[in-house]
Amino acid sequence: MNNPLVWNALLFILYVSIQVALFGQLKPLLGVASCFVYLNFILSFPRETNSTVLIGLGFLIGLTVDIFLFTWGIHSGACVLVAFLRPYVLDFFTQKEKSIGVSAKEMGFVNFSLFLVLMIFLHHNIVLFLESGAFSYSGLLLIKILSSTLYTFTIIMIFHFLFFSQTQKQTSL
Amino acid sequence: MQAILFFVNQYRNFILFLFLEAVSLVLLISHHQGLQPLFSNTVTEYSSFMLSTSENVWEYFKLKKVNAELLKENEYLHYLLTKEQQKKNAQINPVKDSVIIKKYNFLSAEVVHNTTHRTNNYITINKGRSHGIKPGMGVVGSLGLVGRVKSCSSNFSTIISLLHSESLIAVEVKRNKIIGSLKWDGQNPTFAQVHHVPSHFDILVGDTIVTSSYNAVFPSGLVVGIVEKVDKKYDETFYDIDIKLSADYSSLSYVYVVQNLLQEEQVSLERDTTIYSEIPEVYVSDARRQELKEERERREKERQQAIYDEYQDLLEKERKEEEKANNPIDSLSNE
Repeated sequence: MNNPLVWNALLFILYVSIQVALFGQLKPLLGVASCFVYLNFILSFPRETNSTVLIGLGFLIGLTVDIFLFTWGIHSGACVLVAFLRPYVLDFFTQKEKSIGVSAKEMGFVNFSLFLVLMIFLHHNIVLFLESGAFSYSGLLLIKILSSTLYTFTIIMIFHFLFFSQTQKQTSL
Repeated sequence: MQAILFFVNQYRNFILFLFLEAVSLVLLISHHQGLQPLFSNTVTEYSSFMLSTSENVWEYFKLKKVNAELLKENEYLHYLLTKEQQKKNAQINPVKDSVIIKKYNFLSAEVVHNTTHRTNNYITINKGRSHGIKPGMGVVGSLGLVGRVKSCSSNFSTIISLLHSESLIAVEVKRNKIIGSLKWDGQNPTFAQVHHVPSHFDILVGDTIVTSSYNAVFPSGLVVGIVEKVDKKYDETFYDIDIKLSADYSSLSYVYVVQNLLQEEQVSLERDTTIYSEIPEVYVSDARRQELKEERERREKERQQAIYDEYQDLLEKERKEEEKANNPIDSLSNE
């Protein structure tokens, strides 16, 4: 468990299986909201993680989810964008103080939630827009995006307070 | 050179980002044009295995609903059976041709993966090429039409659902046999649209829509849905018809793949009539055509061989006579 490589690999498998076997099989909540909880894998890495590694990992987990959901390139593209933008968004929310970790405790609840919502909204925007065939930005699509963002945010917050609040276990590669 | 290396090092994140986005885009585009790369078939085999394992667990929670569905279907089958029996009793059957009567075979399969909330929805089932399923076959559920087989691996097949922006199915109104084509607009998975129905026919709300006999994939008369809304714009020649689909796509558990034994014959005949429109009277199947071609080639070869043999014989004879003329002593001594 002390080896960060093994720990992160376990987390990777865990997130993908939860996403595919649990949330992939559930019908969308209220017919519109679907949950992409695997995004938390990228979002919850510590600050000092190498950005290049993070982008690579984002592509990897996106592609794995793509394979299982038959959505070639949609999730991987969105995840790469999220992984690329994450350091800049974090800088914005923590006033460039590198010592502050990625958690509600250290960033403050409001800042942390805003950070999560922004990233999730960005990701869901791309995924749902491309999934709907990239025709047009209809009202139904907007409702889908907003409700899915709320859904994913809630699930990720529950994850965060259940597993990440006591100790920051996920260490950098 | 150093400047280039420095540049690459400084912007390596951005370059990697652009590269991976490009890879994703290529994947996306190649998927959307239907040109799935060869490896995706292999990957599908493995991911379908994973999905079927997870489906095995989820199945237990669906048992009650599945049972209800099976009961309902059994009811319908009993109804059909008694109807046939009665028909027999009444002696009103037309002449029986066993090929026509047994034209359609049904092969049941379990749904492993299914979506309804995308614009292009696919279904994965747990039977494939090794069970006799081929791309292009029709698929029906217990309550109505489901879609067509798109591709098969040895143990799994993917199906283009009716809920797909490119699926188009020939349908007719059961009451007065008016034909149209069924298409899904990508919005609501419980409704679909019927196009190309001229507005001078009468269509009523509540009419049953069934598959027409103008296709080689589905049996005719299969219920698709019920007309929910009929709309006619002031200056348009066609109706806008919304129908409520009879099958519930969000809870498909078991489906039946339709094997049409005469499909090859019908399709190739239709193809032949469009290609060789000058000789429409005689129907020749692909296999028979191949046979004829081989026969012709064989005869041609035999003819050429015969000519060649004759020619060789002639040469041989001439050579011998020449030898005789040149060496009369040899030939004498030989004798």
